[in-house]
Amino acid sequence: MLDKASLKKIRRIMGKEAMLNTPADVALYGYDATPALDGVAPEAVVFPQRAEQVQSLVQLANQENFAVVPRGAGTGLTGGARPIHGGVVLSTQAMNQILRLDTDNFQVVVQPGVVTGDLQTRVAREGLFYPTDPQSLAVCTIGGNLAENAGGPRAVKYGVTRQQVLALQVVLPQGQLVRMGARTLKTVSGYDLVSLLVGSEGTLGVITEATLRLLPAPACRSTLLMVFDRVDQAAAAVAKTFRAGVWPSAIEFMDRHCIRCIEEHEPAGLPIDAAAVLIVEVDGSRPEVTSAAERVQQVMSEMGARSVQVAQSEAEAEQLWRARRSLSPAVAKIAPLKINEDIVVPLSTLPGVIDAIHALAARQKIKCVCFGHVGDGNLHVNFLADPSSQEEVARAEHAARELFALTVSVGGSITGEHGVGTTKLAYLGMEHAPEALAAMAAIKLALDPRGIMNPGKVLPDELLAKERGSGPAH
Amino acid sequence: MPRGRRYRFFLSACLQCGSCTAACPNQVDTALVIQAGRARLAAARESSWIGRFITKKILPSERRLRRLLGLARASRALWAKKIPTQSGLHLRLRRGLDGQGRRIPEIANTFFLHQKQPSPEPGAQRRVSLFVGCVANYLKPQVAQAAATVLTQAHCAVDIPLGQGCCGLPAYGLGENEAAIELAVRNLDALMPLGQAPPDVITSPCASCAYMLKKRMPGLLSAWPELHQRAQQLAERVQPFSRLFTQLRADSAVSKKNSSENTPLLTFHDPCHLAKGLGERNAPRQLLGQLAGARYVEMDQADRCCGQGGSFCLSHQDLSEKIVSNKLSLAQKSGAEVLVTECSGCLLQLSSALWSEDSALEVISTAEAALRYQSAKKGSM
Ligand SMILES: Cc1cc2nc3c(=O)[nH]c(=O)nc-3n(C[C@H](O)[C@H](O)[C@H](O)COP(=O)(O)OP(=O)(O)OC[C@H]3O[C@@H](n4cnc5c(N)ncnc54)[C@H](O)[C@@H]3O)c2cc1C
Ligand code: SF4
Repeated sequence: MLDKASLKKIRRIMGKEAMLNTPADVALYGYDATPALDGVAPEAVVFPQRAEQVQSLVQLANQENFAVVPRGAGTGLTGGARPIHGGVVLSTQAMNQILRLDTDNFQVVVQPGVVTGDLQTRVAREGLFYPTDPQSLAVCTIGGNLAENAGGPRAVKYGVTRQQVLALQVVLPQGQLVRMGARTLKTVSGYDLVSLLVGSEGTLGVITEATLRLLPAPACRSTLLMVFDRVDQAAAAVAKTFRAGVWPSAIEFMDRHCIRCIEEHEPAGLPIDAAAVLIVEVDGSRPEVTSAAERVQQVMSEMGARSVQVAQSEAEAEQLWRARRSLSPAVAKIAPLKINEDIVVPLSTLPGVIDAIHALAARQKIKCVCFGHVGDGNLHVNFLADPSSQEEVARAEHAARELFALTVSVGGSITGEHGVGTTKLAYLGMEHAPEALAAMAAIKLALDPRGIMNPGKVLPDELLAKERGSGPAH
Repeated sequence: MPRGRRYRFFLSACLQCGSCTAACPNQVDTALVIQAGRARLAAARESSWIGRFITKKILPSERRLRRLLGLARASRALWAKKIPTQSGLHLRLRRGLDGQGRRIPEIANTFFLHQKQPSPEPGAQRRVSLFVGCVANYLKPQVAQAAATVLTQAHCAVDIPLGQGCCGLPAYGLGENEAAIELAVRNLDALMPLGQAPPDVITSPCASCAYMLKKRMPGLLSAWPELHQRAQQLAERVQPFSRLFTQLRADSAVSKKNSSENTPLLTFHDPCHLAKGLGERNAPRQLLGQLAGARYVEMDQADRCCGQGGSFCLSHQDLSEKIVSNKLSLAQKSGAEVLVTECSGCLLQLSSALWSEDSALEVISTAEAALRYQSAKKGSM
């Protein structure tokens, strides 16, 4: 518990306006976008503007033993930003400046609170391109993207957030302000701390600045809609596209239930009798795009697509992408509770995996909606349940466990982009050997011996307690 | 959670516009959460006494409301003195009496529900019950009249049940659940009378009334299984006016005659309760686009809230005025001469702001537009 004296010290670090602690003000910081998790209000919320304030706060947290939970926009889907052990939520909302746009070196230096979509718009004005495009980009932050190693439809060609980062400035859990990485396109000097921090979900430090790589903006894009009468054909068409020598900038998959959902709530003219659709985007110079689009059409027809349609204008393409983005809200409308998993599997296993998912959902008598960035094997599987029926929720959870077993058995991973947070803690052991988990715990304990940095996330508390007991004394 | 100053501030600062829900991937019904908070305050008697007085004592009782309005008609000055500017009656009679040269909406000489209605045409196909709502009943009977007329012309047997009252949204929005429940039961009895065949469709020229009946009434009555079931049956029948009207026109396959260049230019303001609450964005545009006596132009940010927000325009008057004035300048920029909307709250908010800005723009409801501009001849009324 934070006492009056600690609160006073925190206020002194942050300034009067930059700390909230009345119950009404802090209540909403007990949630993120994860469905069906209860609020756990923090004791205070702070809005630092400078890295030095973050550093002072983290140092104080070590002295007075309270938790620090970094928070971007709260769009995380695994409960990462919820302060489950109380303490202080550190919002990056006031650290939202683009510090330097270096068009000669194709780099941009940003504070962590910059909204991803704003960054894209800004660099586009210089003819540049920041490719990572989580579907929450209108609100989510670069800090959150880094901490979750977020992906998006375009990850299939441009990689996830990790591929865009050159250097970071970080406040480590014991309060050291450090720089890692280099402002060059490559470096092999020492351990790759940037990779360690990216995807660490705020458990290994607070990212206070990032240097990101930019690309020249592709001159032209084309978006295609493919309609299939069989799911396995759609799934198999993904790998086939690559084999035909095309590297699309996005391949999105939606099953029959998704199409119905969209058409019921925000009609976009998708065929409701189809078993699945693929939305494929290709980008590059005009001749490249024209020939790639032709090859995609050819492959898709060979793979049994019932129809292949090329968006004739920006507006038509935008309508397809809007339909894709409206999917989450549309699914939420039909189901009061969605258990949302984002498994990722090797491309060649996709057809079998999608089949098996539908089968296991049918076995558990649970409604299941499947979509995702299948170009990189990422599938969003949503099990829908009525939260008032405990029995149904239990069946949905059982289905999720079977899904993870299936995923791991084909060499996949239980989360492609949403992270572990708290909601996937229980399944971590299905994917990683005890020795691997012990190595992760050793890293966490070395950097954060007091366990103040976003405690309770990524690694189970019991594991850390056990490793702390067996490891060397500090 | 303690009901401190910040708590009350957050609750009062919500417009109940539903924009957040429309944008939310998890579809969190914020308006409902806020309403529950307000109900908590109301139960603990911490909302404003005058708002409570009006929503609990005046709106539910037709006799009292009529007396008050009759009094006002008799003497504006007295009315103006009797009800202070901050009073809760401005919930609906917004800013009319603030002594700053702005006018109150004209109070109707004969309330709509007291006017004699034409009997349905023989051979009418659909039985439609019209829910009038307070504004159309007491202040702007021409709105309800227009709805009744065009629906009758479209071969509906229009019934206007006399037992109906306020839809209950003002009370509900303030968290006055008891008063809202009382009104809900009364409207249920009027619109779905026991032992009689229910109407095919229930509609209202006001989207906020339609929203209340369709989206909130069943939940409000959930503690009484029988009432709840009837409310659900009622809710299924509710259609916003523009949806019903465009459907009727589609059925009778009326095709749009090309409007000539010199017909008036209309634009549409989406009421939050229509676009976000009921998810209806197409129908009003289709309706206006098909009118032979007018042309339609889309304004920028048509679905941005007008700032009325029930009690919001009282508790946060400055903010509310800023929002509406931004709205109006966008409407003017579109080049339209007539701003059409489909909610009585918006209608009052926009027209009182227009009046004070001395603008040439006119504000009317979709029902009025449907009547006025249905044929090319009548276009220049
Ligand atoms: C509709 C919707 C669509 C989505 N689509 C995608 C998608 O396509 N791809 C995808 O990958 N994800 C997606 N997500 C998930 C989510 O948007 C991403 O995980 C995003 O990166 C979270 O960013 P945020 O700013 O909201 O972070 P938050 O939710 O606030 O935080 C997420 C985690 O990051 C930590 N954190 C935040 N800032 C910092 C910092 N400066 N330093 C250290 N740690 C920090 C927090 O402690 C927390 O553990 C989606 C979410 C929604 C609601
Ligand atoms: S004002 Fe509108 S957007 Fe804001 S909380 Fe209320 S309903 Fe949601």
